[in-house]
Amino acid sequence: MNQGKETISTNQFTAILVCCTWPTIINYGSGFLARAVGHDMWISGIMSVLTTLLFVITIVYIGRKYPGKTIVEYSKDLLGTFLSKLLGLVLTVYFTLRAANCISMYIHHLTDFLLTETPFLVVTVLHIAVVCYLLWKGPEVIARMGIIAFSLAILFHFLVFLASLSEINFNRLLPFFGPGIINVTKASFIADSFVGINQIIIAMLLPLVANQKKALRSAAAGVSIGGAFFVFYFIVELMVMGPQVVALMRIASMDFVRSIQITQYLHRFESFMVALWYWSMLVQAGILIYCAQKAFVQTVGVKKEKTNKILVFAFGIVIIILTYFLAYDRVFFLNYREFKWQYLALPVNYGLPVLLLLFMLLKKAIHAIRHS
Amino acid sequence: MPTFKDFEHKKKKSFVSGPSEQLSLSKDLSSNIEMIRKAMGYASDILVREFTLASDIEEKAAVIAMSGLSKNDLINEQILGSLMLDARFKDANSTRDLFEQIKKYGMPNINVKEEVNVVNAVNELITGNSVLFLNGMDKALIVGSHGWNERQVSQPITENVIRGPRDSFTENIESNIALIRRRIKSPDLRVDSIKAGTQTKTDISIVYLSGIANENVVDEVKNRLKRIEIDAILESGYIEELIEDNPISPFPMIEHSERPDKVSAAVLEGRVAILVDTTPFVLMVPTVFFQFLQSADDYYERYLIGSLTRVVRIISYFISVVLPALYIALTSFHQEMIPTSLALSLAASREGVPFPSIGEVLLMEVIFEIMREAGLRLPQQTGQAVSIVGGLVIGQAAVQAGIVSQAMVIIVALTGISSFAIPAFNAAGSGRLLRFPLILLASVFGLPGILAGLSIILIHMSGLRSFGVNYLEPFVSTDSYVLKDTVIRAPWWSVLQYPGFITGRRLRRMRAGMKPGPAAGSRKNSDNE
Amino acid sequence: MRKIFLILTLFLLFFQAGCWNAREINELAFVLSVALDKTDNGFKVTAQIAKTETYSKTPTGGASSAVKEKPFWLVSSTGKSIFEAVRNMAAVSSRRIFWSHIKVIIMSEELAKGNLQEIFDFFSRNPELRFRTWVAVTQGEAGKILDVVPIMEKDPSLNIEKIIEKTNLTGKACGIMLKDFLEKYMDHYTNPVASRIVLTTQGDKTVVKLDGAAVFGSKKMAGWLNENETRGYLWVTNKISGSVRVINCPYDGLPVTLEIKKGKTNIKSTITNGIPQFTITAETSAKITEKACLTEFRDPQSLHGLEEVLASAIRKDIESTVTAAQNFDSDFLDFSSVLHRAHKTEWNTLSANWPQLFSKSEVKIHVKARIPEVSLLAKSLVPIEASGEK
Repeated sequence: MNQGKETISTNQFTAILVCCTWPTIINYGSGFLARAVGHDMWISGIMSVLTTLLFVITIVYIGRKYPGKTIVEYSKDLLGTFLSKLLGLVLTVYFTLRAANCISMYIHHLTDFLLTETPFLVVTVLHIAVVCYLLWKGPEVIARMGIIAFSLAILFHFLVFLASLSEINFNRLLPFFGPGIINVTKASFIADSFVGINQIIIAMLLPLVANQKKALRSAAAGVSIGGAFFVFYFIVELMVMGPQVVALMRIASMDFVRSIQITQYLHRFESFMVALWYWSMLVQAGILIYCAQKAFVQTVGVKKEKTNKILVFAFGIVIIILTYFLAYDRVFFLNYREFKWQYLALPVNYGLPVLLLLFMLLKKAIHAIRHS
Repeated sequence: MPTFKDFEHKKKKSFVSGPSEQLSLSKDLSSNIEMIRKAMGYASDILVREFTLASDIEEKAAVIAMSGLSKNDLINEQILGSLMLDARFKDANSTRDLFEQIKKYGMPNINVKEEVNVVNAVNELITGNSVLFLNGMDKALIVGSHGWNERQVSQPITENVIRGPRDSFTENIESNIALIRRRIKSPDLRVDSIKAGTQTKTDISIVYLSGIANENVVDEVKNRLKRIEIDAILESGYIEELIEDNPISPFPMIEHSERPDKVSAAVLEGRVAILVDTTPFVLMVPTVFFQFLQSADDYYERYLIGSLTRVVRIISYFISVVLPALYIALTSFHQEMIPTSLALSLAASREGVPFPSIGEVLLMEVIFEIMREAGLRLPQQTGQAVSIVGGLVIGQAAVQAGIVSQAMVIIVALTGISSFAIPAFNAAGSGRLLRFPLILLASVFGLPGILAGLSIILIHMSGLRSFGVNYLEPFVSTDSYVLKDTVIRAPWWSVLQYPGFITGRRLRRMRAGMKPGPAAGSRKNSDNE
Repeated sequence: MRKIFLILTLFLLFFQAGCWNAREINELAFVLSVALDKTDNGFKVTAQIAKTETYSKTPTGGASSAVKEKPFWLVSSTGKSIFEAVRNMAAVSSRRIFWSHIKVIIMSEELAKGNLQEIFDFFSRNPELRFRTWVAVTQGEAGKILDVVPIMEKDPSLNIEKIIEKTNLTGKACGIMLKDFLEKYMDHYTNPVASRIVLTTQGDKTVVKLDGAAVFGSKKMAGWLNENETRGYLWVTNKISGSVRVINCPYDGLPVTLEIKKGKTNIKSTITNGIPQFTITAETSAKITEKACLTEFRDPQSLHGLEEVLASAIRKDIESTVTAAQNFDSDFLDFSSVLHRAHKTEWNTLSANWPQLFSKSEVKIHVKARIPEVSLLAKSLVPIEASGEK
């Protein structure tokens, strides 16, 4: 009963966006940023959150004009059929790759720290099986898991705060803008390649939100809270380890947790922190594959419920293969993620909303001219 | 091999009230009696009393009742007494007239009706009512006389409380409904009844508070109950399995209780209670998982203590599911997490143990489950012996023999005790069930394995619904005001609204601003003066 | 049904495939400390492994009481690299060598003056190791430090760990964690300081003692700091609170012991003609915990005299440290980051020849000492003469 249209509430929407913002950037992202700008990485983080917020407003503004439609659907009105199909495919590939990235990061945690001798493929299959199960249950369940993940994320940061209190050295943050404002701004693009996915996710999820009036507020809240989380993490990380050690590490977040302790007795609680962090990664992976699948379905035009369910498995297998090829070679993954990825991510993250906005304004102008 | 058609046929036959066998009563008394006896297969527990009426027309009559199901005193006094001793029916000039007079003045009973059909008469008979036949009439009078020996209202056995009412439901549905009515004296309390079970004809009643309960839920409950076609319903567990939303979930989907106060509280919250005759266990829907961790005590004790006990229960549920798996993950995968001296003493305690810790855990868990099961079914006196043998002999001896480590005994005991701390036995059972897959996952993947297992469990739980309500409400809910009665129990004066996820809309429960305090009291006094 | 069967098969499959990472806790040899020495063609690694039976409440086997064995096991092996040496231990250890609980890393002086990079590469690359490990340097053979049976603790590592955690009580030694060591090491301009650990004898027992500090240059160890220089280092890095300082009474020359309740140091930098100048301002409040001199310090004037003496003693300590740093060419006092923080733009030009500038830079030291506490006594512990008034 009550099985109407699938909807997610505004709080769940916020929680999903929080989960899409903070967990990936703290682990690989902090290393990238530290290598780029050292102790100013947190300023770059704030900058990228602010940029993202701007684009979130844009995309919600565009989305409001087409209620009940995702970006793939309304791009048909704006760009024409061919371009919208192309855009749908690009988004499918983008979301799939991003999901593979997100999963790879979790798998690297396991294979490099916690389960060093377990075969890579086994861990991958286990994790993707869980993600596929989540996907199978649909977006409502992902949203509910988002609430759980969000509460655990709060606990995570609270514990980080407690554990690092005794190690904090504010001097490690000074001076602000050491490498110069231009470099810091440049580095914010690296952060954008992690955080900037939010506006595209919002464009895909907006039709699901039950209360459309509050959608913008909760989207902005989600990005800001997620941003506050990772900026806080960056700051604490810098104050405890210093920029040099952060830059030294491949997965700095893990090494940071390895160097703090909660009282004398819980001195290595990194696996515990992984246990709190994991849920956000799970929700993120789930929502990314969901978006990929939805973009694909809407591009190709599949209507049947059953094919949707089969697609879950298809995407699962594709992502297992992708993850294996991307992430098994750790050096390749590091280089690809640090230097190559932004050339795909930034045009999609920022080019797409700008393009759509331009077309919309253009259409409006033409409409106005015709009317007069 | 019985085909579906065979089944259809049988089903028709087994319906006593099937339309094909509409037998009417005759005017002859002895043939009526014969028909009833025949319908019952000449059962030996039918009581037939034939007598002659004390009236001008000396007409023969007979009362039929079931021995044990009807109150003999009532039959003697209200039927036989009034018809045989009282000579009021003097003016009767025909049998029909006499019958009408008997119905008018001769039956000092609240529940009297006419019946012309043999099958219906038999149905009344087997529920305990008496059937009165008058010679020369093709109608029978059904007199409400059911009553049998039954358990008195006594203390609840499965749900004890420190503070709170001491009564519990019995096997009689009528007195059970009365126990709820005693607490909720509102005309809005609705009781709808239905019979189910072709052989048992069990009475099922749904009780809800109209205006507060969600109408959709009430309709859904009625619909689900209506589609039950089964031969027998002996306990509310039958109903539970027939109407629950997800039959393959390890989690209980419907809460039950034998405490009238708990059921009344549920009804007052807007939930629907399903009472089944012949069992003291009452079902309450919709159910959310968190209710299984709540006890009636929480509401009767002051709210701080109530909140504390709830936190304890949540922790103990978590322990009962996760602790053995966590122990395996920590001792055989993540030894760096254990503080050094603890790690060293754990290693010392495992010194010389022949099994890997997974084997140890499974061994001890299985032994523990066996001991629990053995203790549960035994009479109380013998049960103690089991616990002594189990706890002292096996636990102590196993450690001294070096088969298991001391730490493992502590872990298993803690897990067991934690699962006892959960008020609902069926929810504790789900924890016991889920423990084993988690142990296996932990033994292969350590903590990430537990995480994978836990996330599958949580995903499964977030996907569950009970009568349209998410199983994990109110944690995944949108409204924060309903969180006042979850992990903590906020004081009564602050829970101003009904839980919206049950009622389906926001409803005021009480007047705001009732927070007590010396100032509030004194102001009232000064007003009076 | 099929679903359940599938899940069951999957489970069994995992189970069959084996528990890749699983290792029972009693099959591990817990290394609590590691000592590194240099050999002709590589490293000698000595690991101190805890014996689990010493941690058991019910000792198994009665024979051990007859022969008093050491409560720990020292295992050492050699190899071309540290990791090879560690792996070579497997040839003599029945249990898997497990590094996660390591407390202290002790290097010999000889090794520290050689190749630091390889040592710390190993310790930071390995996921089993933790970053809160203490780093110490010893003169002579490092392995011998671990061979000392402590009197109070069960094994030497816990002993050394506790000693390092309490360095602030003496104010004559310092401790550094691996993560801080790495940070200083990774920073091109600053350099780390590690604990100096030595063996001394007390009565007929050999004990481990923490004394002074080891200073590192940009690539290898530069030299030692003595007690006073270490104290100065603690002053500059704000780690002095809680230590004691003995000074001579300005009036009769007898010793007065002061406990430094609070010590706070501030470094400011200015640049004149391209040469940086540093001003170190130390503020302290101390407490008289013991005095042999007979001066009555209730008199604010005489107390002020004592404060002056304390201030000059502290100044002398800091001066000696600064001189040592400039002599070693090692900026372990973090002057470069002070300069960087204060003069962001100039730093870009200065940083190129920082080592030369550092040894040239001028350092001014201001110390403000206050003694607001005198413990329990209101006056000196001097027998009162009955006819003192006349």
